[in-house]
Amino acid sequence: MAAIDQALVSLILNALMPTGAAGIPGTALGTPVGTSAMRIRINSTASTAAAAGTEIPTQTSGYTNGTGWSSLGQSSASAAGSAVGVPLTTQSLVSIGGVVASPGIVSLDITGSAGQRSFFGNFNGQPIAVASGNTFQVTGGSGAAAGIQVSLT
Amino acid sequence: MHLLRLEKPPEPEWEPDQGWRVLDADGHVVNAGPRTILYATFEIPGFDDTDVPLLGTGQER
Repeated sequence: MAAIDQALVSLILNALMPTGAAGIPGTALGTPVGTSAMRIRINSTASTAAAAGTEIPTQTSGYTNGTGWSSLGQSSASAAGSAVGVPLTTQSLVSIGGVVASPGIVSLDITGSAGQRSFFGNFNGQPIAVASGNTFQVTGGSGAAAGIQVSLT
Repeated sequence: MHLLRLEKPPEPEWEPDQGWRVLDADGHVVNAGPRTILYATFEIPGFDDTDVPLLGTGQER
């Protein structure tokens, strides 16, 4: 699976190649996922490089449709090509039932505060059925301890 | 009239390598899974990846 949004792929390539005026490096990379705190979007269908999956609705608590998980904390920065783990702080939601109960949680997107996508993928072991009233959590931690790891090679 | 308030039990510790888990209303783990690892790779279609090293990390010839 590609695991990276195709628009972001183009921005990265353009920034590392002479795609700017008269062959200077492209400057379009800028801040493609904004400058505010990033988020995790939870989906009941798989995301693709072209589009996010279907976001789950607002839950009993801990998750609002259109906002997602928004207090992730500061991930440890990558060094020498190492993966970046997310979230730093454990994230939780209490299921309201519906698609979260069946078929369940399938995928995630890591996004900017305005929904700009960066990396995406299916949860290991998806679909994860979370019955109404039950709690779904993704472990928080520093670096490799976090429940989601993003690796770029 | 006084009502006893039952404190919610503390959440269990995360097990090693658990990436996610589902807890019931009593805080018991009913399902759990390993970490989710998102691998993204740069590949230029039509080229052997040893021909176009990114940032000099490819095979020297």
